[in-house]
Amino acid sequence: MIGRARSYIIYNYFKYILIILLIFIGLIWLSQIIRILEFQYSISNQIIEIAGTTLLALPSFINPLVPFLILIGSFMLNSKIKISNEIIILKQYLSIKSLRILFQFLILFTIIIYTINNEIISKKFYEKYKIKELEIRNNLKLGSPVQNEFHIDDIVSIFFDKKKNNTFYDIEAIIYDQNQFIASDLVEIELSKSNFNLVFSSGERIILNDIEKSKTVFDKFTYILESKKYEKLLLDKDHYNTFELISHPEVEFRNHGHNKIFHYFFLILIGLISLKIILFYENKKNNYTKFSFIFLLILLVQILNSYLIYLLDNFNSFKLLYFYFINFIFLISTFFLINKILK
Amino acid sequence: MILPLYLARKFFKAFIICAVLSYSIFFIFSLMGYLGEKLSFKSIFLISNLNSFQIFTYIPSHLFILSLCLFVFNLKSRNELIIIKEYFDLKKLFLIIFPILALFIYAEIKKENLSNTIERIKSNVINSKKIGDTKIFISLDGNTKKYTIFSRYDQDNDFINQYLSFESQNQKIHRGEISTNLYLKGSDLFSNESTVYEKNNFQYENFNKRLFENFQSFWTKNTGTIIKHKMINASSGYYIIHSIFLSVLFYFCISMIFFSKKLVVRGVNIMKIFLLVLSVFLYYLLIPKIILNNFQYLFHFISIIILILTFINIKKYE
Repeated sequence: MIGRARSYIIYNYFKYILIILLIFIGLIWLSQIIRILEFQYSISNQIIEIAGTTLLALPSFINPLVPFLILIGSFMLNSKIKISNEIIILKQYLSIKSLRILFQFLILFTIIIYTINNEIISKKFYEKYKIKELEIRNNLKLGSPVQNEFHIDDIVSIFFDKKKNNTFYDIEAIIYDQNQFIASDLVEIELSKSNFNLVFSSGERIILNDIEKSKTVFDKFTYILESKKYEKLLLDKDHYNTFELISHPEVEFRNHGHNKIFHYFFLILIGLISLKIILFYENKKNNYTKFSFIFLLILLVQILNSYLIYLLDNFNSFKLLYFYFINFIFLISTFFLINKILK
Repeated sequence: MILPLYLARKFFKAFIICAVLSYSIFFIFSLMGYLGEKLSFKSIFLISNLNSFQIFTYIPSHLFILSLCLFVFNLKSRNELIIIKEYFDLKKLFLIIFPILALFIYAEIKKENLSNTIERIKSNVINSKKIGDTKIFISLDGNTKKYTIFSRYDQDNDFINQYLSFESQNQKIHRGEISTNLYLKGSDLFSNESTVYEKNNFQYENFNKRLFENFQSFWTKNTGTIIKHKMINASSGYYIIHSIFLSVLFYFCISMIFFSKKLVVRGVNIMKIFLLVLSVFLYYLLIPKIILNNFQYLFHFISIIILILTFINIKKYE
């Protein structure tokens, strides 16, 4: 019976964490897809490609959110077993010793999964994600033509009648930079070395600005999109695991590595708190106020940690020792405060 | 009256919980993402908050689904769902949640405006110049196409500083005009001086001239960058009706699934319901994002028919 009770808690603990993880990571994933689609004026044929690529980034999105997802999962599990009065039965059947073993197992298992994701899975997937993302970004670098309009950021707008491959026919174009307006038979997009060019053929061009007022007739006119360079792959912090980050020559990367170490301790604290939350029982109707306060406290610890990493990155006088010291002071105080609340 | 009030209070509680939790998760996600940027912490903090709000504007329906899910499962766990289903038929239940549904449908229609506003505030925070400050009005007069460009928007005075217009016919430019000395008279846009290109000549005009009628209402009513004259009324009206139709059907489908008889039964296959909600949700999210060059209206029509059929299919068991 005790074995069953323990496995019941383990099963439900991971079930709720997994549900919450799927919901929120799913929402973040969807919002990323929609955001990209909105920026690119809707690109129906690339939805699958964008969805697939952003999916590769999810393991690295998960890491900073894990402590919060564990916390929310624990709140849900507590509500569930409290409503059905299972909490009283579990408390009666499980001794302090068996609870301790159970808690140690849950925390250890959570940390192992988190470490594997943090150090191996997210790194591997992120590498793939960045390569795919770069491909898409370069493909979409100029945006996508939709409904006979083609807008390249706030540089050029092309209005066309027909399109075939990279050529647009019977066009009117506005080049915002110098208040230029072009009416021509066709415009072709050309890639030269690292730039994109717009090559207009057989048309007229008018410039109306403070410096120049002119009108020209041309056979061929080339406009270079200088700010639209072909991007190359750059390695960022998520390309490395904790050990590689700590030994990196750049300070920001090293700081990020130390922040990752702190997050392991943060996760252990959340693990301890979450187990207290699961078996927390008060003879009140609900624990909303207490749980809200705990959630807020943890959120504050996270915001403070973000501020400290910001100080570490931007101010030389702020030493690594201060970063660890302040973070741990807050972490330990939060733990004791929450312990007091859950007594 | 006690029971509807009790239900409204419970739903509101579920809504607050879901909103706060979602907001916090989105906030942490944005905060961690922006930490590497070369911005002050105050700006990072503000942008992260705005980003969290923006995710809500991208998918407001998620909040409705999560709140309804929490609300229904909370009722179910206390065996209150059976009692409620006994007291209220589906019509009455819909009547109770109608204000909430109306609110969400309104948010769905206005979400683009909200998202644009947030994007503009974000651009101001990071001092980046983005499109949206420029509006292009395209009109057709016979074979002549006219492009009117209002730009150099001054946020402090809430007014544009440059008027440009170009007219072309069969890929030949007939007329062009620029003015950077603008003012409003009533609701119309006037210029004190301008330069005009016409009949192969550039001429400077130093007199007051009305450039655009009813400019003020044009600027506030049209939130997009490109505004097309002939399509303006019919097309935007069509898109609003389509959007309302799609949203109403979607929210009714979701509500119907959560208030269905199947959910009252103990041992119901939750996974099946979850997959159904997820499919309807994804369908509703992605269909409006698909823009076809041809057969767009037919595509919209079929997408609505599919949702109506789904709705009828769910309803027939009730």
